Amino acid sequence: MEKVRSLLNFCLILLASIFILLSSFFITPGAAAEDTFKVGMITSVTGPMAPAFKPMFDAAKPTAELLNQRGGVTVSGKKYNVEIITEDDQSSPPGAIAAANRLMQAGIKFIVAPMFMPSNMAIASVTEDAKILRMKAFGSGPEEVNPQMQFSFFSSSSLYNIEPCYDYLAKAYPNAKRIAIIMPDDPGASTHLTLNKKVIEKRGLNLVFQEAYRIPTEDFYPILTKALGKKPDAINCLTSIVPWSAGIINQSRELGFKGPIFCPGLFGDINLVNSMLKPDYANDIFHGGPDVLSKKMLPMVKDLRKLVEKTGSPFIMDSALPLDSVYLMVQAIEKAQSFDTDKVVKAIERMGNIDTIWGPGKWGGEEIFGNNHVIKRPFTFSQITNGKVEFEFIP
Amino acid sequence: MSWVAIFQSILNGLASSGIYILIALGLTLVLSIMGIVQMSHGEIYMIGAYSSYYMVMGLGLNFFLALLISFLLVGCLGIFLERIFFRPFRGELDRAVIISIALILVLQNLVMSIAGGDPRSYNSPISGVLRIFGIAISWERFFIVLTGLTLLAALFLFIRKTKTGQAMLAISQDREGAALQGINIDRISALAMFLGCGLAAIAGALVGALFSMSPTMGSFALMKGIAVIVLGGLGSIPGAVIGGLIIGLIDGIFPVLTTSHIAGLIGFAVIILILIFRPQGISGHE
Repeated sequence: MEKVRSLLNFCLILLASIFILLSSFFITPGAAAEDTFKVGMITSVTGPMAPAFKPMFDAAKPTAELLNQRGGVTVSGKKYNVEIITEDDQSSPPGAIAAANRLMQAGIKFIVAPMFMPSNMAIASVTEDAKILRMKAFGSGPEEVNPQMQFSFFSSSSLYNIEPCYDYLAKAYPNAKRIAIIMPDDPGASTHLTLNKKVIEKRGLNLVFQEAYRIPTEDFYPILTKALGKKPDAINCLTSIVPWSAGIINQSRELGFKGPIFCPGLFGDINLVNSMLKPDYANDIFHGGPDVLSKKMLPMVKDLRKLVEKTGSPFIMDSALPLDSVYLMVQAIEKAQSFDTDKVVKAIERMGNIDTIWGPGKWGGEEIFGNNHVIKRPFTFSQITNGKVEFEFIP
Repeated sequence: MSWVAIFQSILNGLASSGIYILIALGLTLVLSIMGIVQMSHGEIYMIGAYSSYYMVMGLGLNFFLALLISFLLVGCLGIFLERIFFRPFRGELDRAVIISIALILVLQNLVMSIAGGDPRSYNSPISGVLRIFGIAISWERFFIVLTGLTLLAALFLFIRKTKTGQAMLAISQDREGAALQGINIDRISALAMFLGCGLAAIAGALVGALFSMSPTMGSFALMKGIAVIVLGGLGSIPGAVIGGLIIGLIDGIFPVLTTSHIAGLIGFAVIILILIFRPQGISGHE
């Protein structure tokens, strides 16, 4: 009996092996791979930056689905479906390098760069030599895009938001002459600070206070006590994320500050910020970022919103960032008619105009970054008035 | 620097002290009774914030009722954690630290997968700002200080005046001796964990309403909590109060006098200086 059972088991294993062997002749692994354009995306799924950047991970599949509904990417008459492969940088530069290595080992040549600036700067050491094209949404300064980084690009830069934000300040608050800058101790904020100071000086405004707070800070009473002692008319947060923005706004109002608070970079998702403000304090706040829930959003963002919400995830500004980057890669590849990143970089440098999910854009950036690897596109302006978010595109 | 700014910064420091004392009380209680540094105390604090948030925003419960339920629920979670994860390693510092670090990852990712990563906040019914001679403090911060003092007094009375409290004191001084006297170590450890986690839940709920909450909010709380108990003396409740006051005042006053970076350095320098002269902490035993 025992012998019969052993024989039966052996036959079963043999049959299974033959089945697997035979099926391997009918499955052509190359075919599936050839029909797919694989894009890597490095974001923080674990660690301290995860709360800020996990929405990008949640939006990866809906982004690919949307791009595939629109035809994927076509090279030499052949259509490829977009697939986004996500890797976790564990909120740290070494984690980002490990993630970049995993993507490179999988043969991926295009990466949506991590939003966490130290991570993006760290992976340059491995991706540039391997000619991996990195596209970062909502980029900041020349630390990440410069002539030494031939394969690094920004889908936009918040540095271009500085002038329009001061234009609005001058128009809406003509008496706001004394500016206090309260900024995070973030390497990305240094170029912002330099350019903000230039604009303040050029416009005859007075910088009465400037200090960086440590990351993470929740209690802004000490820095605000000092800043408000200088009697500013307006507070500029330079660049921020949602909890810091809400903290600075709520706590400065508690301490009696009634003037405008603005952020030429981004406050983070403006609707999230608004949801965290005490109702009496949700006034005179503006930044250079989009309200992705606005009816004024372009069709691609509206379509993405439907797909993301279908998965049960909330749709916030960060959910649109993978699409912001991959949509540009798709256009650049189609222009180059090749997946060779050398050819794609050359195509980008010849492209001039390009369509973005925020409207028509143009490659530029020479004056700040030393090369034309940054897109200038319509300025997205949001403000909070009486507890409501108002949004407009400014060409 | 004006007098208003100086008084404002002292007031800021006292408000921060209230928060730090609340966080450190639970941590020091668990340390003194169970002999372990509960590294996932910050995550318990975070769960306290989220549970109150859902009770207030999701179920529409009264804020104070939500605080009470949160204290009980998270306290029960503490009993569960003690029974399953910590009891087998009681008194074994290194193993308990590894277990609690693993719990940090598990609890953080659990909350992130349930609640998402977006920061949240909710308004407590305590609104408005108290303003005297140009100095301002929100009533919400004032309430946190008051809650901290009330819970501290309650805990102090419980330990000094009840038989169970005396048993806790006995275990913290000599576990073997207490066991020989017939004190049920398992029961008292579970109670310590219940109280420690419950206190962390209240701290998390109050801070979540005051600032904001996210699945990683516990790391900052743990860092401050550990600094407070090291400075005050490991396992000492009066030490947690003194340590909380010192660190809170440093955090409130020095950033106003200098930059926040130098203030951070001064804070740690003060801790190191005190520990050089009193390695056991201000109120700790040799």
